[in-house]
Amino acid sequence: MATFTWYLQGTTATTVDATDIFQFAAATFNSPITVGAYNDTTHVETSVGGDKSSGNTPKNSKYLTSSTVSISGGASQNLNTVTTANSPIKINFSHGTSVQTTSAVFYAYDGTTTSAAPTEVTFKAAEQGDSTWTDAEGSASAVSLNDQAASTSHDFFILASVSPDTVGLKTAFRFRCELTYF
Amino acid sequence: MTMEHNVKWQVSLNNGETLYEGKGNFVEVEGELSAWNKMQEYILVNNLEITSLSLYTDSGQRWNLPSKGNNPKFRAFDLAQKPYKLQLERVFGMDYDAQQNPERYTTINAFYDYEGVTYKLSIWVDERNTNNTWTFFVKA
Repeated sequence: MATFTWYLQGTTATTVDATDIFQFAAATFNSPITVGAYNDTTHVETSVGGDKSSGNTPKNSKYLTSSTVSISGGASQNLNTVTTANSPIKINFSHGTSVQTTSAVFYAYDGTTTSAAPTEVTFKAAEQGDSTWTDAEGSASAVSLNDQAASTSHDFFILASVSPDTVGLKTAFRFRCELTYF
Repeated sequence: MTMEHNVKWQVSLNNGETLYEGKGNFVEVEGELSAWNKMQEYILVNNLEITSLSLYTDSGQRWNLPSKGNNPKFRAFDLAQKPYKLQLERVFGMDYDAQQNPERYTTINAFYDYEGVTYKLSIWVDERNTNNTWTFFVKA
């Protein structure tokens, strides 16, 4: 049976379970990001509002320019120099038999209609190794993930950065991954 | 551990053989190539070609793509352009909070070349509810 598992990477990876959410924040957990600014930290929040990733020093990717990023508060670097270990989001696709993956994509949407952009949020994403960020808002604008050769386990490493367009908590905002395998 | 899909493939080859996912050498065994990849390896080693591709379930449902064969029963099929390639794919889609119940489809595709442009006829069958099926025809 095939399974997807999502992680927020850090000194130890935090598994993002079905009832958890990704939280993008300013300097600390639950701190709001100023309108027009981008996230300084990324966390996994439990269904009761707990900081699930607090002990794992989670990674953060902050959009600076179309081709640069700050990783966990570090200096500006070219996006394509970020390592897999420093990529905040890891999605593992496992399959009991050895399969190839093709046409994988990652994007954010409004939580209702996959073609719709998240509401009142500017979203940037990239696959590890990409040279430029993608405005991955809605399925038509998804980040394309590299095809992978036959294996029983496939890891996709992703950088994501978020900026609120208006004041207030943004919840019409959801991540989605699609892939083809055989 | 043997793993099976609800929706399985059946192929006919140009040597007259018919192969089924989950039967003979084409069972899904953990750690080995997928049944489809085993079949692809088999036809490559033996220099064979797929002439028809179908999906089926153990409960008797069946979905057929147009065949590459040369002896159709009806004139309409005889006159129709033949696909140059037949292919199976499995598609997963999931939100990060839907890990326990991802959307899973088994798809079969027939590729056509028309005036230098490739077109694809796809049949998608929902693995979670095989009564849900879609067909579309697009420029590939």
